[in-house]
Amino acid sequence: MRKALSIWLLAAWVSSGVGSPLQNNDRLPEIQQQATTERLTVPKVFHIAGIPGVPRNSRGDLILTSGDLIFQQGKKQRVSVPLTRIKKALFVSGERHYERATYAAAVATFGIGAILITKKHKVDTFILDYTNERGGLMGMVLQTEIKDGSKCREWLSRFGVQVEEPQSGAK
Amino acid sequence: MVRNKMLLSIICLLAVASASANQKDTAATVKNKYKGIEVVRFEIKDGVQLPPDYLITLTEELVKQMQETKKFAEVLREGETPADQTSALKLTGTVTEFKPGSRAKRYLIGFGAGKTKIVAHIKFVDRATGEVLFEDDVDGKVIMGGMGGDSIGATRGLAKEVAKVASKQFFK
Repeated sequence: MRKALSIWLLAAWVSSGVGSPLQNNDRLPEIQQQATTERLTVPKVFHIAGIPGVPRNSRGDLILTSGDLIFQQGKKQRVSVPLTRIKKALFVSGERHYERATYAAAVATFGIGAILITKKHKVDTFILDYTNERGGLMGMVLQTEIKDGSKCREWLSRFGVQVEEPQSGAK
Repeated sequence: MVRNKMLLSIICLLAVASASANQKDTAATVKNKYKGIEVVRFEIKDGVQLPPDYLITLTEELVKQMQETKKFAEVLREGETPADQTSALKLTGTVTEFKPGSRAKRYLIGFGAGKTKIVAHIKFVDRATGEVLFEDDVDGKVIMGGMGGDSIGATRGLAKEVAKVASKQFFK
């Protein structure tokens, strides 16, 4: 009885497709491909300016789809801009201080660690000009790690957004 | 001769007094007249190296500070249409000076070292007629702050100054 029950359960599990290695392998590439063509997610992006209600220097995820640019913190969407409303995107190089590390070092070393304020790390800054629902000109400034900036630039360019590089000599 | 000089002085004094009275009349007529304001992104004077993120931040800070005065019924962005087009101002400006300063110097040295400064020439214009109602130079600075203070905070200082000017000039 127990044996029959085990065989029956095993058969049910296999037929559901969960336990079938061949079926899973066939589906995985499709899911990944779907994921990569539908959206690009860039985690831990710094918000500098432009999103109402979001503090400066707070972090969130930037999600780029074929139709929208979304800035999200946790599960909350802070702003969603259709790519068709983005007038232009400008990518420039930028720098950030290690604020928290500097503060911690200064506290731990009675102020000596504050010298860390002189250290900066390079980031990509991108500045977006877009229009809101009422036709008003809005701006947004975000910072990403260097490796992610080029991905964002390529994605936006691919979906028809005018991407500009800074003029020579400008930072 | 002396009488002519006295007569001339009196005429000049009357002319000055009349001009001053006209200005006061103009100033009085704009008080509490405007219900909305459109904030236009500032231009940058040739030769001034203001980073583009500073310009965006400045616009956002101007909109925010104008809203926080609670004097205007509408604070609009460039391109938006006010509900009452006859009683709306337009704020334009040109950034005429920018000193980037240094956060590290402000934090490690202090005493005014590494100060960040932005100066702008602003104009308040009647949106319907294009008449320039008031213009002035304003500035924003970062001299100190938490770990030296963020340099881009100078845009907030400038925006606060602009909001103060708007409140003083256009509201009782």
